[in-house]
Amino acid sequence: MKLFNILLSNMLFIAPTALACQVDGGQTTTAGNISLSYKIINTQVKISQPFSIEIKLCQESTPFTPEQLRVNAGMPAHNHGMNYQPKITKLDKGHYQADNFFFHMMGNWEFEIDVLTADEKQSFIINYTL
Amino acid sequence: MNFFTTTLLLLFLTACIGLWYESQEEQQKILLPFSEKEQSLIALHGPWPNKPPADAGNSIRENYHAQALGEKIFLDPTLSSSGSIACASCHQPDRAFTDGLATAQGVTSLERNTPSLLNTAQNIWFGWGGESDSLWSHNIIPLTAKEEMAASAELIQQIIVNSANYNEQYAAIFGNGANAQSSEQVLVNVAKVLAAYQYTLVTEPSKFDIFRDALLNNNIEQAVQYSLSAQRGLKIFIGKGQCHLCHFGPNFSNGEFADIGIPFFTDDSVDSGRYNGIKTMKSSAYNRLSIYSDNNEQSERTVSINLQHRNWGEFKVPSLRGIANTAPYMHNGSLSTLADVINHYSTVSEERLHTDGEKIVNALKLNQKETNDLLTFLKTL
Repeated sequence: MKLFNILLSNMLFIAPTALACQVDGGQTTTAGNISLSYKIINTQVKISQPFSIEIKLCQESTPFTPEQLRVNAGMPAHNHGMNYQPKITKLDKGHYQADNFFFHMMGNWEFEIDVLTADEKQSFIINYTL
Repeated sequence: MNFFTTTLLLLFLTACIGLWYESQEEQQKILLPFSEKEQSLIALHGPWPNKPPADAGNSIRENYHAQALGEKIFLDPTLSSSGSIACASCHQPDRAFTDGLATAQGVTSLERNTPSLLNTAQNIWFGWGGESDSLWSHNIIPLTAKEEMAASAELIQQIIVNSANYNEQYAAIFGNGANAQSSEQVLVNVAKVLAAYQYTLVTEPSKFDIFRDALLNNNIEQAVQYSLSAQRGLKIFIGKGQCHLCHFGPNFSNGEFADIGIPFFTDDSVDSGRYNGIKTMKSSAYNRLSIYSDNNEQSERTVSINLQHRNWGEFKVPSLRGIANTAPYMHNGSLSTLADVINHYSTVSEERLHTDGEKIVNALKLNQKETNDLLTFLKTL
């Protein structure tokens, strides 16, 4: 019973932490000790139409605010990025929304997300085919 | 008849028979096989007509009275410093709203080709360099530019006020006559009624649209009316040619800009295209963020547009609808015919393109039949 209570209390502690690091319905990737969870918000991406992404950042499974967060996207095969600079809004600790993404042609895009801390920069490349 | 003459005659007859068979084949009503992927791509280039992007900054765009007044003003040459240049002087209604010239002629000669106004409301950016982020604000440029109509806000206000007919219609739309407003506000409002008229300039469904709908609805009887040459040309457009990467969607343009190797030098200068276009738009007193915009919504692009080095020499990707009627072509009118355009894409030198630009355009090397087919297809848009 005592062991059960210990396990239960640990689960109750871990579950909210896990949720804080996961975008609901999103995917997660890691680089170093940083995890990035993301998803495209509410809309199907269409050529030359705006869309947004939601991001959650955790370090050692704990939401954290980096010194700098940079987001962009490009088409490496075509040697170009977007024509627009996305705007990042902080929603909460480690929780962000990036707006004004515009993909202006079909093909293979890469989201480029840089997370900068005092000690390092972790870069995330996420593939997306439109 | 000697051997040489006989040989020539036989060769000639063979060629004639070959051409006859080819023409008979072309006249057959056949639907080429289109793969699932091809059909998906074709579907994305319609339906037509397509609802244009919203323009919250012009609340009278769909106002019938504004559209009617806008048409009258569009045709009126007195709204120019010389009293002899109307919007319609360059955007001629019976010429698909172009002028047939390589570069436009206003008060002086200009350096860019007059774009058609047909379907112009489909655009996101306006002007070959995207100098404006709305149709109504773009009207202010030709009205007031010293090289074009060279009017002033005061002149335009005076013309509206001095015409009982204009001023009465103006007052019905805006609640006050032009005499009760600042000249700046009158200029803006005239630009908006012009845009309301231009919003109505929409082409009818084309042969391509009829084919597209028939193909997607499995209406074979209708689909086979689309010529074999056009069908082959369509396959090139969405296949080998990759034209759809930029000339995408119901309006056959993604609304953005590209460097396709057309020189950006003018007679005595350079035309930086999108590079200066972005700067012009951002500093404009009439952009979507301005006090003259009826609503500052839908300004995401204006806010987030990113000026980059590669924008130098990029020009607007024009719509291809009605393209057969809008020669000559390119931002400087340097290509006289559609065949010249296709030849350009067939032979373009990649060395002409920016080293940091988009690596999309490369010489297609189309043979004569492919060129003819692509040309046939473009003429059906």
